[in-house]
Amino acid sequence: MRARTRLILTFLFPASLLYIVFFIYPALRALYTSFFDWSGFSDNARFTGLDNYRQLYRDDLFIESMSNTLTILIAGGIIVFGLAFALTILLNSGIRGRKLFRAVIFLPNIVAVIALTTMWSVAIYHPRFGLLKNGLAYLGLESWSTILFTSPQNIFKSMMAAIIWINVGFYVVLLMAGIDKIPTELYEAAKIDGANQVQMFYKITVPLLWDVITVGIVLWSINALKIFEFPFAFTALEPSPNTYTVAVYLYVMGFGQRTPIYRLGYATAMGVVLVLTVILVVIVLRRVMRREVIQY
Amino acid sequence: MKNVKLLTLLLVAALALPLGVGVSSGQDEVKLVYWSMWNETEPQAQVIQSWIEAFEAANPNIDIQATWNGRQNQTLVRTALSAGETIDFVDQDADPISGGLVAEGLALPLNEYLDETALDEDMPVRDVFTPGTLDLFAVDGQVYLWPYVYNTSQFWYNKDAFAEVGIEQPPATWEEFLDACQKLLDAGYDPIAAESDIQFYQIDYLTYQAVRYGGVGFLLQTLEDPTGEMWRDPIYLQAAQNMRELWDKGYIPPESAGYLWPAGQQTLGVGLAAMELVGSWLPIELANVVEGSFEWGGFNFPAMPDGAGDQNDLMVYLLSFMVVKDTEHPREIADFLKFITTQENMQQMADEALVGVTRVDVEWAPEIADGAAAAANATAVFGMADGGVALYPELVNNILYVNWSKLFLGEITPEEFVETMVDDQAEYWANAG
Amino acid sequence: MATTTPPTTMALSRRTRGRLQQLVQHVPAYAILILWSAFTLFAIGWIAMSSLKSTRQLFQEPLALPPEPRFENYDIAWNAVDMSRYFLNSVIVVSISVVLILLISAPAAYVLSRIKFRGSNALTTIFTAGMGIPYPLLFIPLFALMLDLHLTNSLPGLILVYVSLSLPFTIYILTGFFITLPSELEDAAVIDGCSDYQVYWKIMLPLASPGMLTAAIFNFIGLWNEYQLALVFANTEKTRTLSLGLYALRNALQYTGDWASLFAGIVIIMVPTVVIYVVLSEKMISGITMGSSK
Repeated sequence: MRARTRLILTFLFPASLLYIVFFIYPALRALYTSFFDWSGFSDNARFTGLDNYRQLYRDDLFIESMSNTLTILIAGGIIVFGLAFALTILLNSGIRGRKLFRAVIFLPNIVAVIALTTMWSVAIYHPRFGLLKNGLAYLGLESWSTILFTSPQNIFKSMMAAIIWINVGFYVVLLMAGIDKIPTELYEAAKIDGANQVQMFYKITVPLLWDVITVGIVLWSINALKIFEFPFAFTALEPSPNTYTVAVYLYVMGFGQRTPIYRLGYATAMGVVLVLTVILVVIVLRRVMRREVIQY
Repeated sequence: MKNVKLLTLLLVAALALPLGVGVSSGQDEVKLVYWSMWNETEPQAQVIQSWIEAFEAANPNIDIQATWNGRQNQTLVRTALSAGETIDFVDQDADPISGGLVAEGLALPLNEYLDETALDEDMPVRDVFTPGTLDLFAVDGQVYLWPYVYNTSQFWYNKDAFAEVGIEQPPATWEEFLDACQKLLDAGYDPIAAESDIQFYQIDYLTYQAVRYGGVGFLLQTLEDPTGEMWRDPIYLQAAQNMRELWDKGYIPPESAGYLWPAGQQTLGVGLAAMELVGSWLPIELANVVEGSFEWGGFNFPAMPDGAGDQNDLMVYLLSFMVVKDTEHPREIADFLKFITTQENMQQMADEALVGVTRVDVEWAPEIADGAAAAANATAVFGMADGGVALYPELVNNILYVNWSKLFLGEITPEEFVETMVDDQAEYWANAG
Repeated sequence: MATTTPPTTMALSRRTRGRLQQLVQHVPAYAILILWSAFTLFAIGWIAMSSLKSTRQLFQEPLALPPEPRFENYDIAWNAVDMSRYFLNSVIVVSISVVLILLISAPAAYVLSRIKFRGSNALTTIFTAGMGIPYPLLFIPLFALMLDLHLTNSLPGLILVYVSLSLPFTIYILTGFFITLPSELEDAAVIDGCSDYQVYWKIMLPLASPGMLTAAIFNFIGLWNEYQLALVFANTEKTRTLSLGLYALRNALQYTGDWASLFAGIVIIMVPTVVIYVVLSEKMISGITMGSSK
C-alpha cells in the first residue's frame, strides 16, 4: 500500500499547502484577534477575552444585520427555490425555445454586480424617474406606482427582490441540469403505468434530483449567509444600515467607511459568529437532506 | 587562505561603504509614494497630477508615485500600513483621517514645516491659510493635517426659483426660512431636496441647530457626557421637532424617504426642488444635470430663536494631506506641500476643479462664490458633528447618525429620539470605558 | 366512410389542430416565461438606451428614446479608465486561476472522495468548511502575508489569493461529483492491473469532466465579477481587473454626476461578457448538463 499512500499524499499536497498557508493560518490569526480590542496595529492590541462576543449580543446593529441575513437565507431561499422549481417545470413542460429562455433567465448571473446594483437602485426603483414607478403608472396601477421602494421600510425587501431575481437563474440552470440527467425512460414507464404529472414530480423528479437539490440548498445557504457585494454596492455612497448583512457590518466595523471605525477585534468576532452559523446550518442541512447516494 | 578571505572582506566592505553613503546623499533618486482619495478622472485628481508633474520637473531627482484609490483611501492605507507597506503621504477628509490615522499616532507633526517661509510670500506658510483651517484638527497645538480643499456646508439653492417666488434675500432666521419654504411650496416647488440614505448629510440639520442654539462645542460636550443626560436639554427636543416640522409641512417632500443618493439632489438639478443643505461640492456633482442658465447661490444655516451661536459659524469639510510618520523623506514632502500652497497652484485647483481652497487671496468659482463669502466671514469653523466624527467616530456613526436618521425619516418621534440617545450613549460609554 | 375532403387536408387539419392545442395548453407557461425574460431584457436594454442620452434627459424622461444618440458618453467612459487593460487583466487572472484551481482541486477531491483512508471525512469537512468564512475576515492577515512575499498589488498575488480562496468551494463540488461516479470501471481497471495513478488519470478524470466543467464555469463566473478581493490585493492602474474598473468608473463618474457615461461604461463592460455568453451559453450551460449522456 505504499504506492497508495504516496498517491494520497501527492494528490493532497498542493491543495493542503495553499489552504493552510493562505486560508487557515489567516483565519486562525483572525480568530485570535477576536479576543482582543485591536485597531490593526500591533502596539495597541488589548486582550479582552469574550467581551467582544458579549457586546455583539447587545449590539442592535448586529442583531439587525443578523436578522437581515437570516431573512435572506430563509425567506429568500424559499422564494428562490420556489421560483426556480416553477420556472424549471414550465421550461420542461414541452415548450419550444427552452434553451433561449434559460439563457435569458441566467443572464443576470454573468453581469457584474455593480452594474446590477446601479440598474436596480438607480433605474428601476427611483421614486420619480424609475422604471417601476413609470411603468406601473403607465399600466394604470396608480396606487402601486406610488410605493416608495427605497424608503427605509421597504428598501430591504426591494433589495431582496433584486437578489432573488439574480439568483433564480442560477438555480434554474442547476435544477435543469439535474433533471436532464434523469433518464426519460423512467418518465415514459411511469406514464404507461398511468401516473400523472404531479405524481411523476413527487415520485421520480424530486427523489432523483435530491443530491442536486442538496447541493443547491447548501450553496444558497452559504452564499446567503456571506452575502456582501450586492448590499454593499446597492446604496451608492455607503451601505445603508437598513440593508446591512453580517458581512457588510463586519466590513464597516473593521475598516470603517468615511467615519473611521477600526475595531478589528470586534469585526473578527462577528466573522467567527458567522462561521459558526454556517457550520451549524450546513450540519443541520446535511442531516436533514441525507439520502442514499444514487449511482445510476 | 585566511589572508585572501580577509582581503575579500575588506574589498567588499570598501565597495559597500560608498554605496551605503551614496544612497543617503541629497542628489540621489527620491521616490515618494502618495495614496489619494480621488479617482483618476476627477478634476481634483487631474489638478494634483499636474502639480506633481510641475514639481517633478522642478526637482528632477524626486519621483512621486500616485495611486488613485477613491474615497476608500484611508481604509486601504490602513490595511497597507498595518501590513508594513511603504506609503509616504496621503489625503482624505480631515474628519475621518483625524479620527483614524492621526489618532493612532501615524501622522508626522507639521508645525516645523508650517513655520517655514512660504514659497511665494514673505511670511510663514501657516499664515497663508484661511484662518481656522489649520487649528481645527490640531492636537494640543500640534498640526498634523495640511488642508487644501475647503468645502462649506450651507443651503445651496436655485437663485431663479427664489427670485421667482419673491424671496429677495436668503433667509437669515428660522422664521424667515420657514416663510421662504412656504412661498416655494405654494409656487409648486419641492422646497428642500434631501436624500434618504446619506446620514452625514442628514446630520447637518442637527449639528447646525445645536451650534446655533448652544454655540460651537455644545454638541461635542453633549457627546462626551457619559450618562447621556445632556440630550435632555430642551434644545435637542426642539431641534428634532423642527426637523419633523419641515417634513410635516411638506417642505421636504414625502417621496424623499425613498430617494437614494443622488436622486434627491437630482431634483434640485432639474429644477423641481429649490434648495439642499449640503456641502459646496454640489454644483460640481450636478454640473451635468443643470440647465446652462442655472444660477447657484448659497446661504448659511439660519439663526435659531434665542440661540447662543452666531449665524456666521460655519461647518467646513477640509480635505487634507497627511504625512506618514515613518516616512524617510519628510523634507521632500514638505517641499511639495509648500509648493502646492502657492497662490498660483491653489488658484488652479479652484478654477479647474470648482472647489474652495484653504488659501486666502484665491478666488473661488462663481457657482460657489457664496461659499467663499461664508468662509471669509466665518466667526468660527467646526467639523462634522461639531468635531464628533474626528473624536468619537463609533459613537457618532453607529449611534448618533443612526438615531437621527430614524428621526429624520419619521421612524421615531422627537421624544423617542431623545430617550434613545440618552440610553444608547450611556451604554456606549459604559462599554468604552 | 365517404368523405368529400381529400385525405391530406384532413390530416393537416388534425395536425395543426394538435399543434394549436399544444400551443394553447402551454400559453400560461409561455406567458410567465416571456414576462420574466422580457423584464430582464428590458432592464438591460434600458441601460443601453440610457447610455445614449445626456444625464439630464436620463432623469427627466427615463422611458423615452434618446432624442439624438450621444456617442460621446462612450468616449468619456472609455477614456475615464483604462478599459482595455482591465479587460486583459481579467482575462489573464481569471483564466489562469481557473486552470490552477482545477489542477489543484481535482486530485485532492478525487482522493478525498474515492479512497477511504483514516481522516478523509474530517479532512473533507475541513476543506469545505472554508466556504463559510467571509472574506473581509481574512483581509489583514492575508495582506500581511502577501507583503512578506512581495506580491501585493500584483496579478500573481491576486491569482494566488483567488486560487486559495476558491479551494473549499471547488473541492466541495468535485467531491460531490466524484462520489456519484460508478465504481465498476474503477474496479475493472484495478483488476486489469492499473496503478492508482492510471486509474485516476485514464478513467476517473475523463468521467468527471462534466463536474470539472461545472466547477470551471462556476469559478470563472464568480471570479470574473468579484471585486472585493481585487480591491484589497490589486488596486492599481496596472493591475485592476474589469469588475474593479467598473467600480472605479462608478466612483469616478458619480462625483461628477455623469450617470449617462456611467451607463455607457457599464454597457462597454457588459458587451464582451454578454457576447461571450451568447456564443458560449450553450456550451457553458450544457457543460453542467453533460452528465445526461452516459
